[in-house]
Amino acid sequence: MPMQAGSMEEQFPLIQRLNEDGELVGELGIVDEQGLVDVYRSMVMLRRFDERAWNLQRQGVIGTYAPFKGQEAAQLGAAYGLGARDWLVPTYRDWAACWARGVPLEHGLFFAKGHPRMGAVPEEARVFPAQVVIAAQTLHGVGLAWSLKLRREAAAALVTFGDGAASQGDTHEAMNFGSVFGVPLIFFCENNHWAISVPLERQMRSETVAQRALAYGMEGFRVDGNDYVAVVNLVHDLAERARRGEGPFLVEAVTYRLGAHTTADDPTKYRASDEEQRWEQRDPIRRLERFLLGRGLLDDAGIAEAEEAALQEVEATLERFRQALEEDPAVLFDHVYAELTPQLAAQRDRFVARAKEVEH
Amino acid sequence: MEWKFPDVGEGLHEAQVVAWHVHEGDHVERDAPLLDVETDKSVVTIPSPVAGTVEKVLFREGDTVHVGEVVVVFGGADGVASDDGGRSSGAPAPAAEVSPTVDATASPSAEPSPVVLATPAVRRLARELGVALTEVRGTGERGRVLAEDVRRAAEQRSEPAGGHQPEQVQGAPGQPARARAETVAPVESASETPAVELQPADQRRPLVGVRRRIADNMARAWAHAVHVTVVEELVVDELVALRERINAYLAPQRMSYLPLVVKAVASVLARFPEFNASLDEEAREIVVHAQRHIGIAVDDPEGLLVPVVRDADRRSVRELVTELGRLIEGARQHTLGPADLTGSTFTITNFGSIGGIVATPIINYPNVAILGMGPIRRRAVVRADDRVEPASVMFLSLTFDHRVVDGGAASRFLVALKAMLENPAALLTELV
Repeated sequence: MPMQAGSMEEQFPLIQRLNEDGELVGELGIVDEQGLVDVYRSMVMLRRFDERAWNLQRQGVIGTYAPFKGQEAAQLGAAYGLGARDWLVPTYRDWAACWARGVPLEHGLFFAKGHPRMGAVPEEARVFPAQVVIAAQTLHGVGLAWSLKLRREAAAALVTFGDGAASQGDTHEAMNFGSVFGVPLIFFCENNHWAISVPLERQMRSETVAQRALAYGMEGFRVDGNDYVAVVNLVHDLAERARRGEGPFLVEAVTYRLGAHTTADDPTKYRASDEEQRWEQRDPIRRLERFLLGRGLLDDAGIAEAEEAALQEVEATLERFRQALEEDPAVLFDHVYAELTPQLAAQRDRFVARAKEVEH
Repeated sequence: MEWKFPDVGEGLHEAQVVAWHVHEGDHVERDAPLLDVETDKSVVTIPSPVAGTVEKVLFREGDTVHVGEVVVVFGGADGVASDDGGRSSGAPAPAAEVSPTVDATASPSAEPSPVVLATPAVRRLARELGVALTEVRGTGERGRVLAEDVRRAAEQRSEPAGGHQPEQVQGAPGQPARARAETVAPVESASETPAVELQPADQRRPLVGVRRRIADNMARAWAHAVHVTVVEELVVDELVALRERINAYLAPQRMSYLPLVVKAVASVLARFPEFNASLDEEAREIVVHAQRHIGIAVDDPEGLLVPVVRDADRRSVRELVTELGRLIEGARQHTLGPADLTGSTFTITNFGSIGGIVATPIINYPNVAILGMGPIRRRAVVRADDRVEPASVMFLSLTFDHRVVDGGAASRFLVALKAMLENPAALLTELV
């Protein structure tokens, strides 16, 4: 039987605190004004990094790269909403979120380069290696969260996935399993409206991703994913509730992929430019900038300074990346197992010996 | 610093240079546009990897560049450290000057020409049997080379004249792949393959870029739609006179017949909505479009383009003149974006502007119909009272997809269009 028209969008209203014009339409909640200046500066830096990484692929320095342009607020909100003991389970597009948890930004380049150092995630960051298999990480997230529960750790996990992944069987199994076992997990869907070239309306017939929570007996939320203030507060609240055993939860962060799916994609082939222009009006950086300008927390000099600092940080990131390229290829064996298995140790020895032979 | 062409896509082997943004001797900033290349997927702008002087440009516009080849040499680059010295990512690094053909010879495992479609398993089989894939005629979908094609090629090769010794196929792996790969050179491949025989002066070039897109689109249209063409003769003296008067009125602007035909088609489509439609094969549904977006086939040296006049029915003739001018000029200058090149609901091709009295146009798939305009020429016409006199005559060809509409409807559509164009006063009733 059909639902009443519009009922789902009404049942899962878009949570917003900072609107498109940079006006505060809710409480600042857990963030303070000065903190928002830092977040703004971080977003600018991340945007410049993202653009630079795109160019590095075109210049032949790295392989395929998936830009996150436009999704900075959703990613930073998700990452900063978590506590220090919580976990992040990311996809291949979540370098902003990973960075906010303490994963060096050059890991995005390692991943695109196939550099083994991508496995060297700092332990204190509590971040899983980026998953490229669509939706597979939702299952990993459930497993991780279940283990947190079984070990009675006061910690939650957040797993990110896209709107395309929301159509995958893995995601449904993960939600079912996760809700049955009451795991402390936030299913965080970055709904950027495009699964490569497939638009949202060809992905699902439901009005929202959030309403899928109903089917699994979870609470679902739909939040403006380009509104950092709304996302960080929501995730903060849900992480706390998850730690108390009230999880799992489903969050649909409504955002937009302003760029291509990856460097191998050309979105002008399948989507209208006026759609992109519409979403540029909702750009998370622009919105925060307007708010800060309005509050006198930022001025033109501050914007210029943020840009300058961003460029320097991107250069420093690239420098660390370049240094890693000089590394001994035997690093290949270093970052998968904490301790090498006997077979891998033997392989490593043969590899090192062969490398020496080739040098001669 | 030499900059080698990287894989700018995903598993790319080559691309065509579309445009250079710099010339030899120019200074270029890092990340400033260097050149545009067209892959089989898209046109890609490559930003300069360094800041410095462009010392040498090794490929011209229109050239095909392979992954790993040096494209540009920078001098006095002050940002060399900003990349990894041109090491291309994920791409094999062939020696600097090898041509693609020699390249295949140099390494038995090198992929043959990328235009050959084959699965990895088949490629492996070909290597094991020492068969060069470029020599094999693929019998699979879109010419894909299948395992049986490779085996057949190996068998034919090992067959001494007239003899039939399939056992030898098994022995084929012993034959060095290296030796076989040498026959990739087209002149040598003629003897055994049933594919196109190449004479020494013949040239082979890859099907890439716009040409490939057109090839794919045409093949798809031809494979899917059931094409039938119906032709009608129009006596258009009044249309000729009307156009002259409009042109006198618009002067110095001038228009062709196209705006009037677009106007008439947009109007007739209102009465025949099933011709303003697409077939959604996946859903097995006929989509009748509410809006009338008329595609216009534009001839261009680089290949056919079909810009689209949106909401043609809601535009005046004057507006159509301007819009058609913009689209046709934009198509020739390659400045149109996808918004102007997609979404047609019906298409018109003016083949008569070059030559040919009657044509059987191919549908702009998944549209249901396309109208072809022939040239207007003076011919002898038999009038109602059997008088024969000279008149301006044009043939209109309507190709339709017989899966969606039938011949009767197509004829009625064409007759309605004829009535309107022969008596263009009727167009007045369509003023908006």
